[in-house]
Amino acid sequence: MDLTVSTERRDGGILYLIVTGEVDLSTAGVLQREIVSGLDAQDVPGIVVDLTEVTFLDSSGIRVLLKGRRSAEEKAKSYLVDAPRGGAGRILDISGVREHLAYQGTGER
Amino acid sequence: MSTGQNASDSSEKLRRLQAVTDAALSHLDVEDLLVELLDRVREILDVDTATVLLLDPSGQQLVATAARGLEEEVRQGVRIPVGSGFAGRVAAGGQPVRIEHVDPTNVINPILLDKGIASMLGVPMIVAGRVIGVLHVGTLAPRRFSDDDTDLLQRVAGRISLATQARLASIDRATTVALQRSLLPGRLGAIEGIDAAARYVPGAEVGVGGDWYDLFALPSGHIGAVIGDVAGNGLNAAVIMGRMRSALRAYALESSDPADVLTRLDRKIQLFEPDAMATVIYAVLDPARKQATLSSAGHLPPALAEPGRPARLLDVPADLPLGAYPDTRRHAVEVPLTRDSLMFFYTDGLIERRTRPIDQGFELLVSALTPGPAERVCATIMSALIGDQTTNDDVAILALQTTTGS
Repeated sequence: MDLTVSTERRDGGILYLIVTGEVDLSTAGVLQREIVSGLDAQDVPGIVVDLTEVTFLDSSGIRVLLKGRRSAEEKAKSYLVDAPRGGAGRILDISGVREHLAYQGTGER
Repeated sequence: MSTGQNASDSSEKLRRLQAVTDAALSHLDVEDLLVELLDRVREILDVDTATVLLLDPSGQQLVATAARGLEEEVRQGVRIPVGSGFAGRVAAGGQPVRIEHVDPTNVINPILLDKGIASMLGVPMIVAGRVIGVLHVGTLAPRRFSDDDTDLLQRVAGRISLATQARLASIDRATTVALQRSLLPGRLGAIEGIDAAARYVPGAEVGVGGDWYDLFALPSGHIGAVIGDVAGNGLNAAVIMGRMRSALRAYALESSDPADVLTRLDRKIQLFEPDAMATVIYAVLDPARKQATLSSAGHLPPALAEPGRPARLLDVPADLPLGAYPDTRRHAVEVPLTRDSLMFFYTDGLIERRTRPIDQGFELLVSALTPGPAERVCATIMSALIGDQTTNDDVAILALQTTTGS
């Protein structure tokens, strides 16, 4: 029931949140805080949430990803959730949310 | 008095407080427990008043919850904004505050002035680093509270905080279970043309959550069936679930199109519960026309078992969950309902496991599903997918077997 989020700046300041482990009710708050603080940072034009190494994602995780997309839009910052079809992406597809998770910011880029 | 004497004095006083925080008082509710503790506080600190204000769920206001010597604070429902007034400063700073001479410049609560309180000492109530309230004491005669007094009250507050938090948590759990039970009847009301059964099981990790099912006959002759999952757990999720359940019923009376019903429900949630999110399937069954119309807000697809055919997942494209983004377009699909076919709805707790991909969960479900009496189907599915394991997440299922038609 562990979740770790490491961060990297790439591609012109875009913040990558590399998520590893299980996103569930007990860990979703960790991811939420990382997304919020990433979007809050003045010099971050957008964030990518990388779920490649996520082994489990439930509805609390989906809620956090959707909330992130909504606040990205409010702050006019780019937002992308990168999830492999076979892993965490499968639940995003079944839940009908994947296509709604990307947002192209209108900020400094 | 030497410091050493003071210390042993303090310890003796704390032991006297401890005597009332033990299990002997476990039957008391929070207010009664606090009143008992506050009597001891008055005695050991030799003060005239002792009051506990707890932070409300918004975290913005302190609510007078128990008081001795200042009972009117509780009776009048005193609320103090965090940051202002005496108690508000204690909560905002997370530090003790002493007032030697109470006057309108340092308190905002008129009761303190009317009562003629001369001096006050307040300390934060802290659990796991978080302020949950304020404990303050007061005297009618002017008094300069010492560092020892402050230290003792702080230690008392620590003990009271733990007792309060534990009691509040157990009351929350009991309330949540009672709420779930009242909203999710074990036996569904009889509806002509449908044999229905349902199960709800709390999760091992999350306890009672926001899963729900519902079934109702509509004046049009249609039957409404609902399965849903409010994100989160505990009392908050259960309360939001209760609101969604009754709002969905109300909209179901207004519209026979499930996509329209979910659109209205979504609009209501966006406005009144902006932090909530839920996945829902609403199905309108029309036994006369032998069809069902379904709309899904981000929920896992229902399954259909027809006589003589393998069971399958229904292709109900999921629109966004309720509460995700405003003005989401929603869709409905129609599914033929042959006689003696069984429609099965469930929440993610039934099939999602950390130990296997979700598609294996779907396979287990459809291979265990056959038409038959709804109670038996529920028992079979729970046995096949849950067995003797405990699930982390809560689980709700709803089985509907059509019984009419020719």
